[in-house]
Amino acid sequence: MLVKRMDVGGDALGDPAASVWGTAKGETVALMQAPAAMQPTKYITTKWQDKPYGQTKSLTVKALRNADEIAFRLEWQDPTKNEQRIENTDFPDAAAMLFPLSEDAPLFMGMEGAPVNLWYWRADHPSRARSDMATGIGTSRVMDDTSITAKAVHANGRWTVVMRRALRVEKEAASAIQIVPGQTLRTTFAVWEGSNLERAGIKAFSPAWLELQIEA
Amino acid sequence: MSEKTDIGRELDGVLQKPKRQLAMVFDLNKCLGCHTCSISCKRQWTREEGMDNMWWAVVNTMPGKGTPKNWEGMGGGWDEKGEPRPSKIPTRDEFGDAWKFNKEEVFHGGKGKTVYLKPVNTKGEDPDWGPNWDEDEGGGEYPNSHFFYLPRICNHCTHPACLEACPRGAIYKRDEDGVVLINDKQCKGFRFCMEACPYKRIYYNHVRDVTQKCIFCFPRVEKGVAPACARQCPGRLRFVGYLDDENGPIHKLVHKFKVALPLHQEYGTQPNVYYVPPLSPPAVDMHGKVDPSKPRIPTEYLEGLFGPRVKDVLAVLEAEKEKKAKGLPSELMDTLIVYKWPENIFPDFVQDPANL
Ligand code: SF4
Ligand code: SF4
Repeated sequence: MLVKRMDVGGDALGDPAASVWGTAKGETVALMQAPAAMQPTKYITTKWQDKPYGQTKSLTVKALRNADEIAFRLEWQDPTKNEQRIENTDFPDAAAMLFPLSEDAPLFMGMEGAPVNLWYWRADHPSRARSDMATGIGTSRVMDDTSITAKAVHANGRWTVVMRRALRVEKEAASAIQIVPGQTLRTTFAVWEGSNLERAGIKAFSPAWLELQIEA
Repeated sequence: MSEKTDIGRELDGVLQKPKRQLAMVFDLNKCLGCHTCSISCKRQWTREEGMDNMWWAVVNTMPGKGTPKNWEGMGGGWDEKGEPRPSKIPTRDEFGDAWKFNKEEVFHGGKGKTVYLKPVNTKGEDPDWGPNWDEDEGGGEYPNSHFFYLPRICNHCTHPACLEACPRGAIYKRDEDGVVLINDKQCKGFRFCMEACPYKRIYYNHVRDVTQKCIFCFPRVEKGVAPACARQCPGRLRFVGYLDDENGPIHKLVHKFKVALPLHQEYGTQPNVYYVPPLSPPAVDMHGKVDPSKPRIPTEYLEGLFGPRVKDVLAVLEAEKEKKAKGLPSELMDTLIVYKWPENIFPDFVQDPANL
């Protein structure tokens, strides 16, 4: 997918409703249930093996850059808006992107020596996304020093979320993806359905990399 | 239960065994139901933001629904085959939640004579459960109504379901004393531990998005001070010590005299909190006639909580009590009586916190 350079202000890039998004070509990414057998603990596998989860079938992604920022606009179907965290059983809707920080990082959360950077947005903190690093299932650590701003809209049974960040980051540079114009990089996605108590590895994920060409 | 099984377990073919295991024994025959333990824990550890609904130490009236409400029917832990038993996350209402009162209105609003203090829960509703909602109700019919108090904390289990359910590796069992702790830097508030713990002794901090539970007062223990619940208990029933310390009261009560039993051993987590089951007066009929063959608290009920050895334990306690009454020596009774406080009840933790 081409990430076009549009010389608009960051606020327009960060707004899911901005007209500039009409010019970006979207890509539909198929999602599937993260396998119960691959859950990191037996409790989770046992509890969820016969239950439906990760049923979000697909997500549409668009991306744009300007001189110094990049923005991803994710859109997926979710008839129930879960944004609060009041009851112990409240799990807000969430979505994440995963970027490999080395050539051979596995799509499933990376591995020892081959870390991945996660951009994680959750509906209880609608205007920012967290930056995490992981080296395998169950290892993600919150870095959070790279400021990823977000804007989210839930309308007509769909979430539209824009995550926006500077192309290059200084702080936590080693644990966050650096985005270089002209470069090609890979990403993949996950979606959590809050009404179904989805969290951690109980999610829908995209089992393939999406290539991004960052327009120079 | 052999000594081996309560200090080690196999996990993925590897023996997991802390160097030592701290444990507590609660002698239920001495509990007054005063809640000093719960309050001292509350004051010590759960005064921060997001902790207002937390009671790491509770005292439930038994028979009763407990904290959270009906926790014994929620699942969790391990089945007979060692497989995890699915469970649920207890809700705030089931725990009882933290209530807010209209103090402003009553104390400062000039309505002190017409408006009374009235609690509401987080949802703004009339509470219909609390940590001690069914306090002193108990069970049985007049004239054989009965109840006893059951203090409960995290059991710092040898086979902790909470630890093994956490996908983050955020829960760990300390090698030096077997205390089970949650690392709140690793915890992401996923709450699988709250589900998996069959004793439902984990709370969720809504402000910090992490889970929290009893820490066996480890910062006190490291300084030779007994946990707050044990040190403050006026009933002096909370024994603290290491399971392998043959001269300590824990080893004596659990392994030598075998009168201290874990609660719901069948949950499979191998708890390190043990209970001396309560004796009860004999049943009476409507005319006040005593039937010495029938205890007022049905033995089957106690067996449901503490397992099939209850009968033997009660018999031992009765026999030793008899001996003592006749002026004969009984090491078991002497251990339970605690002549010298604090050295007889938590010999390794006698430091006075006021002197630190
Ligand atoms: S009582 Fe529950 S929280 Fe405590 S160690 Fe056992 S399983 Fe974990
Ligand atoms: S402080 Fe001691 S006597 Fe009072 S309720 Fe707690 S355990 Fe029972």
